[in-house]
Amino acid sequence: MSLAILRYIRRRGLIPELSSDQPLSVIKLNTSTLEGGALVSLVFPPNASHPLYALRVARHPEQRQGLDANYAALQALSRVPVLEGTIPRPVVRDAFQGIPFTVETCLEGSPLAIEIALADTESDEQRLVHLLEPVCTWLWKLHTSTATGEKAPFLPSIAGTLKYFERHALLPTEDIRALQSYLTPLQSQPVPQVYSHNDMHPNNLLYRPDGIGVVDWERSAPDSPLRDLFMLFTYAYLFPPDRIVPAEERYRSLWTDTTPVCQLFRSTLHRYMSPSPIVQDLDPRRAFCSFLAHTAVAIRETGPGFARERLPAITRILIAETR
Amino acid sequence: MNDLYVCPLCHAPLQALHCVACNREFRTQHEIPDFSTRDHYWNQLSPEQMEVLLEISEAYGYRYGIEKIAGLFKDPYLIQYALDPYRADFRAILPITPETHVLDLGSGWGAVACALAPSCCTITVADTNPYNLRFIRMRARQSGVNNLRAVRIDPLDDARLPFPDNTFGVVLLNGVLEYVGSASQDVSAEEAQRRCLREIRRVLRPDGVLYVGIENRYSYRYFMGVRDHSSLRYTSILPRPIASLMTRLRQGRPYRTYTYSHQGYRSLLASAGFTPPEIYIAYPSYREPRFILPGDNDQAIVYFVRRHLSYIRRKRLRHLIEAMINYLPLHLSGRAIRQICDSYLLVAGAGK
Ligand SMILES: C[S@@+](CC[C@H](N)C(=O)[O-])C[C@H]1O[C@@H](n2cnc3c(N)ncnc32)[C@H](O)[C@@H]1O
Repeated sequence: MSLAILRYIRRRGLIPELSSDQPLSVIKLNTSTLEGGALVSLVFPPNASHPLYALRVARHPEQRQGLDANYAALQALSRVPVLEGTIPRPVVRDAFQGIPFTVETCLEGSPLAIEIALADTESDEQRLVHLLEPVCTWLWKLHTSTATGEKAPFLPSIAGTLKYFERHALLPTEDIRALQSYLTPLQSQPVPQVYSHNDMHPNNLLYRPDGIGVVDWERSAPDSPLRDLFMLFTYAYLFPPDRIVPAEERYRSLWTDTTPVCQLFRSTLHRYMSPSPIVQDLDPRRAFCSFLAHTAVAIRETGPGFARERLPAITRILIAETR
Repeated sequence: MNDLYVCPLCHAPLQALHCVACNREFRTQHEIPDFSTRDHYWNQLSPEQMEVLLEISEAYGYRYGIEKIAGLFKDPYLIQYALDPYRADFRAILPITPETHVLDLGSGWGAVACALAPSCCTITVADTNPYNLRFIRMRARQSGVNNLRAVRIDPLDDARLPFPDNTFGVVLLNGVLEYVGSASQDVSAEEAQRRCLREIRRVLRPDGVLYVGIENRYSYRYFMGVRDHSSLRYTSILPRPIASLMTRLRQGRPYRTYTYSHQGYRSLLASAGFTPPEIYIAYPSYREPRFILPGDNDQAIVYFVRRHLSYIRRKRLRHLIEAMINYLPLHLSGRAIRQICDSYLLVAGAGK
């Protein structure tokens, strides 16, 4: 499909840079972690040393929601000057024989997931900090430049998450009750809204020596700024890609240890908690509770797998720490 | 759905599964037209296990059946293999549109067919194994797929497809061509594969394409001692007569599960009348094509390998490949990766 769409793009002259007759080739990327997501291919012009565009093709004619959301986010964010060069530029949105597709520019870099997995294998904490620090700084840029000044109820998905845990018997009832009692008061307190990427998985982050790139915006929406931050540390540190680690221990360590990664986490959080245009009156206890909530959501989204098996232990640690 | 069939032996149109020309009668079993004239059984599970699986899947759903029952009988990889819709992601390189009629030959558990069904006009699954066909029909029904039909055929070695000429826009052979040859003895394995490919070309429309997902005969894995389809080590990379000697000694049968180098696939397809194929490299394998690289673009191959080097978990292999792409000229690195990669995806036009 990808090549037929590229031929169509050429015929219609939709992307002037691609209008020569030389054959193009594509690399299909792994998108199996995007639930029902589009097929994503990188477009290689002849004799180029790197691809120029990323082509997203809907899997089915009616499956265009993800495509549209990603494209709309890129359009909206292309107006934010501080993000320039760190997110793809939207180029074309169209359909070919009933199949919706979009084209965006291809960002240079290698998936941060791979770099993190390597640093983790080699227990290189400094390297991990070196990889995560630019992401934290970038998140701050994204959030401060998109804060709307509006507030909304905290984490609407937490009730659903708890129900999910209950239905699948993932947690003892008393733990669910405890979670509920911490989280319900949180829910009623409105939080300032920013533009949240909402899928801060290191697979969606690209590493370059001179900065980072952030792709896959289909889940982005207004949300609490902490959601991205917590998600980043959940996926990059607590459940690093492809690795089995004693996640329970890491949970506690994030809040107490003086290792470089844990310090980076706490200093970033602190930046968000100091009086700032986007987060006000978030005391450490509340931050901790909301971390719990975000983690619960992340675990639910991770689905079956070791994160789920570790859920009871992790929750107990978090509940104990919150007391 | 277009339910026109021809006699697989004489190609005359059938009337209610009856061939007036050669006076043959075909049956329908479990609502599946059966064009087989001899028995052939290929499956990870035995017929008895399949009966249990079918019964449970009927009562509790096919997903439950696979997860709880097939997973019990066989290693857990079978669960992912039978269920994962992303196994059909090779669709990225195929011209499948809502108008396309697709034929999936050797359809196994239907993971590929059911994933593609919503994106094409119709999909026909054909296999020799009646249990799997029943499973796929049930699976389609349970998941609301209503443009799929199942057909039982003879082994592809016999080249007897019950479809009229010029019927399909896309024919899939995903993990199947290597077995063609193993169900016959009358000609060489290569000749059986060629015969099968010619028959596929007959049912393809003039502008149709054949897709083949298959191992590289010289995959680096075989050099590392991973077992071949013969279930022995090194038989893939050894000269055919020696491989055959080994399987005769160990298993009492000749070596007939042929795979090839990419040049080998090219000439096999050409000898069956297809146009020169586009060749892609699948990583980690064609069974699970998470990444697909253009086989003829050295820049793209080396770019990808450099970018994803750390995915290679074996440290020595990783260092070896790293050294190779750093010190060899681009075209040699590209060629080396192409020669020893795990599997190929081939897309060849009918060229009629
Ligand atoms: C490895 S499975 C591939 C299944 C499926 N294409 C997929 O990718 O999931 C091989 C399939 O080919 C069929 N098969 C094996 N030998 C065959 C032959 N000689 N003729 C026709 N089909 C054969 C088997 O019944 C089985 O369904």
